[in-house]
Amino acid sequence: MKTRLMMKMMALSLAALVGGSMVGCKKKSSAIPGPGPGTEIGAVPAVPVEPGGLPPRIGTPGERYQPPRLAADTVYFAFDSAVINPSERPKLDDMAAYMRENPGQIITVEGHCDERGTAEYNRALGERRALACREYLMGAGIDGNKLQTISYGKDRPADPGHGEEAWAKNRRGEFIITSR
Amino acid sequence: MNKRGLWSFLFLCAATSVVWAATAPAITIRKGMPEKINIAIEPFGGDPAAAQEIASVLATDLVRSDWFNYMAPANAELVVRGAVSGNVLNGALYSRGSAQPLLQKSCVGDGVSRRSIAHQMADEIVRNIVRAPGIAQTKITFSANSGGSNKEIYVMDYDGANLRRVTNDRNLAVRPRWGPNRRTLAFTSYRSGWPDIYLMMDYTTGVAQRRAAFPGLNTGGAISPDGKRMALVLSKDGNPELYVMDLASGSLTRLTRTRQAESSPCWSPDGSQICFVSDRFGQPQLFVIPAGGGQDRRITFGGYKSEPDWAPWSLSPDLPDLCYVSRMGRQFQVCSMNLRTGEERVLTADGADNEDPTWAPDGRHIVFSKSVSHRASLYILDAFTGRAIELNPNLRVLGDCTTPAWSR
Repeated sequence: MKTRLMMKMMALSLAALVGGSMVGCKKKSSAIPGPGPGTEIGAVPAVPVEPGGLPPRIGTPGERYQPPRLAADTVYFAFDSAVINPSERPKLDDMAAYMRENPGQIITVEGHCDERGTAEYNRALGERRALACREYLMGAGIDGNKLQTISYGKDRPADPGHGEEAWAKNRRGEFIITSR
Repeated sequence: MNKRGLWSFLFLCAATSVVWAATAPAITIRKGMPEKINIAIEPFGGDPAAAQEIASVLATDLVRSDWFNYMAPANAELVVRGAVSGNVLNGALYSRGSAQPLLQKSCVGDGVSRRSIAHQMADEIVRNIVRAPGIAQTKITFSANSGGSNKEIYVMDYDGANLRRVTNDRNLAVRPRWGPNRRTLAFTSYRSGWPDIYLMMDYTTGVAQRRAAFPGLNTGGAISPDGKRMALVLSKDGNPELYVMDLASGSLTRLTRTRQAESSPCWSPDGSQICFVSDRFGQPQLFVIPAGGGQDRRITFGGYKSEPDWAPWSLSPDLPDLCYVSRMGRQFQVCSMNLRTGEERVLTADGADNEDPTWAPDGRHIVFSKSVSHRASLYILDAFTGRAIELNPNLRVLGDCTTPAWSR
């Protein structure tokens, strides 16, 4: 509700902006001009993945299903690091056990960063974190075809705060059930 | 800056100008800086409202170019005169006291706004007097969150006018980059749920083609200066690596092979090399690699260096080629480097986080994202003087404005 109100206020101020001083042309629109959703053409050419590469995508990662056991297995990282800290290994071992108990499930590993890195480098670092979790689980005997990765960089913080406490919660790898 | 180098270059500039038009004032330099030329605009003839608007935009353009001081005609070395007729400005530039024009130009409007007429005249003056590419007709694209958690891509004129949203992805649409024209954009969007790279051949249509949608991460799309290739970062082979895609065939060439993260590619102006970020030695550093593949070369040593952009043009070989972000203390600052001499300069030094710099086509201005109290807005930096100004305070209604890119 709060968000909707904010969006409304935002839209109003946008209208004021476009009608006002910033855009020097004729007043003809009540919002910033732009396209409708999902305008898209063309198909992606198939390029093979090298040996040791990632499995084909399954499901839509935006639809998050994360039971409490998986939430508790969230792995945390040191600043600017994608190395699995020894303190995080029991969580990954529990994830390996979970995946052995639920062999039909596909798991998506989400990699995230704190706000102190630059945006685009953080997107790569987040992917490295997700891949580090995947590699650990494969080392524990889990089939890599059941583990896919996605990075959100610093765009999806768990804690919106700006101190060390928030940053520590945001440098993480999360496990999501993609298909049951 | 190597003063002698710039001196001789500017002397050459001056000499050329003298041959071309004996009365044109030349740029002189004092304390290593090109000195601004005093310029004035006499009231244009024609429809008073149109004439006044065009003159006002032109004056702002000349000031924003940073090559000129705008002043009253009595004190100016250069005077712009002209007459507006319908959608056209017939403009001319004179040296003070001379009846012989230094340049004459008919500037025809784009039919959208009169601002484009003034922008043409401004670029013509910069091109003829400074012999530098003008920036008045350029566009800037960026990503903004409108106060929420999703981000969309926007395009506007370089001064913030004619703002337009170009995506409606209702997810994360980030890091837009321009093709060689002022129409094509490459960007990363999570509109499918996954991070994929899209191309918009013409941003005014809003029609996007998905060009990279491999398993894992697809990001960092950067179109080559000839528009035929795209550098990108993919993790499909098990790790975020740097690739080049041939845009006609979609075929990929893998350029790096590491166990660490590669990111943020940009092209050299001749399209032969790519500068990118790798954290293979710990914290992220900048590297340069031949665009066709080969041995990469580390160019920064120590600290946290990220998000490079390569100047498309330079007034002199002694000026910076690269701008990038460096962590200094607890803050990010915009820095520059001359690749030939290795000289690095810190261009911002305040208590804010200054990130995501990209060059204007004049090799002088940089647009970047400044975060103060965790609110990000766009700033324009003059890399010659270090002076930074907020691009347009009206953009604040879009929330956090990040990952800007300046059209070429």
